[in-house]
Amino acid sequence: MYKLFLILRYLRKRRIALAAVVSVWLCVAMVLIVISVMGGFLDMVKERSRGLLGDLVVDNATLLGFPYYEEFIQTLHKQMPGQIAMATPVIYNYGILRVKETYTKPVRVVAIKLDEYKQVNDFANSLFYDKYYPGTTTLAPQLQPQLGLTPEGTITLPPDQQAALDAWRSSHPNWKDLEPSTSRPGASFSGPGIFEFSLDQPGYAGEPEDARPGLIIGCDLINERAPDGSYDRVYPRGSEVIVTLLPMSRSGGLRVDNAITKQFRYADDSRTRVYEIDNICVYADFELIQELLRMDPQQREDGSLTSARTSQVLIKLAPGVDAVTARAQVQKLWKEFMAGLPVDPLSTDARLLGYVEVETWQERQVQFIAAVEKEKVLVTILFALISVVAVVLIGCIFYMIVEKKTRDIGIIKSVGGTRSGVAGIFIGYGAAVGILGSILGTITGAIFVRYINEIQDVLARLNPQLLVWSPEVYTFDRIPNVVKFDEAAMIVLVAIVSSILGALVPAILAARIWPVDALRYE
Amino acid sequence: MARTDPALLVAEGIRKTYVMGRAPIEVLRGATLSVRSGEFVAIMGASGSGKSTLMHIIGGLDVPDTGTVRFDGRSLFDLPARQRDRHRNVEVGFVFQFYHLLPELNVLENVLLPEMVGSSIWSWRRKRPAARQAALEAIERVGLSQRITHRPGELSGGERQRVAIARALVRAPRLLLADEPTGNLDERTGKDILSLLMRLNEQGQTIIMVTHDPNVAGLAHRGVLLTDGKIVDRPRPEPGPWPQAGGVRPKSPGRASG
Repeated sequence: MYKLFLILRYLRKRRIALAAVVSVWLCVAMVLIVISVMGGFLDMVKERSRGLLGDLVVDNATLLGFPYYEEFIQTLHKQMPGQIAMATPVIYNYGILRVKETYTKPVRVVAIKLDEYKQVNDFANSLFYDKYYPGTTTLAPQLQPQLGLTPEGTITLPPDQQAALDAWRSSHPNWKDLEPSTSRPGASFSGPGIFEFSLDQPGYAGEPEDARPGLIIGCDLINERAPDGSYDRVYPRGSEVIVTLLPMSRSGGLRVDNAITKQFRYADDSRTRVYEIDNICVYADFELIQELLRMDPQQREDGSLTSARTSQVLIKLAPGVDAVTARAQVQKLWKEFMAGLPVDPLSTDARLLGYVEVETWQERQVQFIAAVEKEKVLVTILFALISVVAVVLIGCIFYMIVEKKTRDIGIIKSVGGTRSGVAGIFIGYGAAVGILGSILGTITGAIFVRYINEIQDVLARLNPQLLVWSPEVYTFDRIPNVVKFDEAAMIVLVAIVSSILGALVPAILAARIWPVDALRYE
Repeated sequence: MARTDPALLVAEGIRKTYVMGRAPIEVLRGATLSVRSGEFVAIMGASGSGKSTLMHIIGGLDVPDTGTVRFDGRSLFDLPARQRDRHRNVEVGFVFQFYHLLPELNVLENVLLPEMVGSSIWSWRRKRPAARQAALEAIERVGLSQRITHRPGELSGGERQRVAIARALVRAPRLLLADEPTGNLDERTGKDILSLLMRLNEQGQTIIMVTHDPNVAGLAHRGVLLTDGKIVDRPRPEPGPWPQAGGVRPKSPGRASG
């Protein structure tokens, strides 16, 4: 009983023990923050990789793409019934985006079948206007929506867009909290985003011939990112934008005078939260880009048609299907499919088909994921080593406490305290320091991690030099801010064990002190 | 055949050598002492004569090089360490010259310490009310009932020594060992402490007191002199101008132990 009593009393009365508590506190908070941020970063890499790719990726890693993808998708559905939820082709190429004649940027053009692409990955969740005006984002030709005055004198959107917004609001009772405030000063329309305004009735500007295909633009390409992580929308929805593309011949030839310039309308913007994607990608209709890049069926000299090409086929597996097993099946299926194609083995098509590989989303990102995993382990080891310093510090502090309490040890032994009892006081004292320090450290670390983005925003506002997490460097625009229970529990356990280890040697020394020597100690 | 030993404590042939630097110093050279239950024995001797060492050995705090200490017939140093610890907790109460109180604990907690040491965390819940009552009674016996929440730093030297005596008495030990209990006190406070010890002895408490002061030793039933590492019996010196418990001199020794 006296052990517990003295531990609690020493903890309250010995100020030097507070130094040990503080060192455990800081170490636990530090390790928790590092592991949470690094672990969160790793999880985000994995999650976003999967969210952007789908479960399986079929491609040949060239901008030329590969032919016969439509037939292969049909074969997939036929040969693996119930296992393939969706398979969709995607074309990647590069181009130049021009907005309002003054803003130009190199972009990666991603040609997608929007409805299918939304089913393969999480792209749908990245769209801004499609969230608040569901169903209004399309890559088909479209006119620019305009705000206008109703006969009653209120400012509204065209009926279909206004109805979409009203429907969203009615399905979200707390919509006022969920909608971002419009960034345009003096805007009289209360809905999210930016729209052109006219004094006419709300509707679509221009004539039918002014319709342009829709283009979804990466959030960081088209908007201005504020230091606090919010986005200021500058261009109204439906603004005309121009994309210049350079089509390649089937054999890989590129001629600059073949450049194609195409007008689009800014239909939506996509925020995947991966800066490297949001700062470079624009998304356009698959068939349109395929045609512009001449990857659609082309007439050969003999009058026959070539097969259309795609850069990738993204596959979403049915729930419960193992990706690795499915990959092997798809790979096998591809080889069988390829063997049955009427392709001259010496032709370009045969070479393009020969390069095709099937990968899971993890294999696709393996180098990046492995690098981040290694980084996490290294940083954890580094901070664990720093924590060893805390153990040594606790050892020193406890050695000082034992020195200072030598006479107390004699007193306790004179009233019947045993050696193990005396050792127990100091070991328990160490454990109490560990428990208290790790509780405080966990609370501090968890709060810090939870509000890490807000803290950074405040620091960045005070001084832009203090912006630690740059999206250009760390891929994601926000710092991961989730503490995992199992990781926190492990850190607490290690902290308590370390504190006990730190107190162990001084405790053994205390137990060995001869009571008579302790009583004579000056 | 069982040996009968009428004495509460018998120390025989105690030898103890300390090594100071490279020089061994033989402090005790076969010291022998027998104390009966209810007796008040004063061990006298010059500074450095080994009085405190002998008291520590008698109390089981220190171990002799050779010799035996029998308490109520049991050989103390044949006991396992844990039982010797238990012996110190239950059978012996120590009073030291420098009080030796835990500064973080108040009067009541210091006095409760032996009770807590003797209890497990599980049994303490059950024992606590009785232990607290015993501690309060011990504090009352030393006249400090009004100071139970005070810490040692808030008490005078005499009060601290009273707390030390209360702590020594709380488990009703059969032997009270007092090492120069008045050595660090002024004359008047020393008189109070001695009166208290005499009163306790009158109530049946066996006391062995170490002192170098013949006047103090004169209050005991029996005085022994430790010289050249051995005990020499001496006639009890006439007490000095010390007040006596209840105005009477200590009664003759040999009160039967309970």
